[in-house]
Amino acid sequence: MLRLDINLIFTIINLLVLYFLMKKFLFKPVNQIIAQREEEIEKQFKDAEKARRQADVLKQEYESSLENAKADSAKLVHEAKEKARTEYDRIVKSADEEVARRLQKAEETIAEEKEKSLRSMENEIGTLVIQAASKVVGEKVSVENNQKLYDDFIAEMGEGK
Amino acid sequence: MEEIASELLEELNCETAFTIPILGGIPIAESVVITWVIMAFMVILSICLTRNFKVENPGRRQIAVEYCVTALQNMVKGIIGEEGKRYVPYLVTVIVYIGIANIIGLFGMKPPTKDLNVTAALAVMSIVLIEYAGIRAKGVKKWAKSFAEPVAIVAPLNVLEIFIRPLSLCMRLFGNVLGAFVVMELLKIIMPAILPIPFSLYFDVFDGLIQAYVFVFLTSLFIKEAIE
Repeated sequence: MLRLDINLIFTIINLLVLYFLMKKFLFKPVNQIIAQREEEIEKQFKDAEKARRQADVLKQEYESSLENAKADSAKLVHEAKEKARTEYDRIVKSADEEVARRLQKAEETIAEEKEKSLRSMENEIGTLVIQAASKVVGEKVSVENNQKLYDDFIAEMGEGK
Repeated sequence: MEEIASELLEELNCETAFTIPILGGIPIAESVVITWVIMAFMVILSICLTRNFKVENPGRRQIAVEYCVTALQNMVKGIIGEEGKRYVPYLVTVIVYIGIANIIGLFGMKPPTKDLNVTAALAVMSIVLIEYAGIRAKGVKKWAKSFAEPVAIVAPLNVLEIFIRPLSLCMRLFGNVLGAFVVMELLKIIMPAILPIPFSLYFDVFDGLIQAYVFVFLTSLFIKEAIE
């Protein structure tokens, strides 16, 4: 019961052997696995953080580019409006000019036409007057006299007007 | 009465399992042989349980093993502190070994801790570890100086502690297991059926595990004290 002998040494050896075996076969694999898992989780957290940061940066970029695009489009619309207005003004102006020009031309044509018809009427009237006068005066009147008579008549008419 | 006494004595005797026939015969105690059985059991169980461990998607077996090992380690780490992390595997090994050794009586084997050789060996290991931890953490000079703390006059008591601590560790474990064993044997002699069951639950299981915990708890505490 109460004996202390060489078996104490054996037990110490046993304990040391048991310790090393347990360390090799139990603690090392278990702790290693746990450490690996922790490492992996740490890595995943880091990756997630990194991805989030990247997403933030991208978002900012997109936002700023969107802002730029908005400004650009507003500028474009403004420019287009400006351009359209000048174009409109130009067209209206040219149309006005055209109209004025045509009107003038038409007036000129009308005036010319009037003149022409007046002249032809004058001639007609002259001929008629001569014919009438020659009827009145008779067949004796010469052609020269006729012309003279006619001119006189015209002059008188012109003065009488 | 005498019959009972002689029977008890026979039960208490730590028999020599066999003798190695060199140097005039080296006796190998039964406790050493049972320790081998426990060692084989622990190592084979560890190898079987830790096979095919995976980092991702661990199986139920792996989760259970990891949980148990981590729980034991954390229990010891909680006592010894973060600085004594390197002594945790040894202490967990010891707590498991003493635990198994104490309840092995349930399987009809004599608990090795009933042999003074085993508890003495455990205590010697403990004190060596405690002093080693102290020297490692403080250096020889500071370690030697720490005997004169808090005042120089207590130095002899502190030196005595080197012997008192392992002795108390050794005797506490030995006494408890021996006492439990004696009580159980007496009960078995008086009434072999039914009656020993509740007592066995207390003496073999509860007391055995408590003693394993106490042994490791005190060793951890001393190590913590030594490395502070």
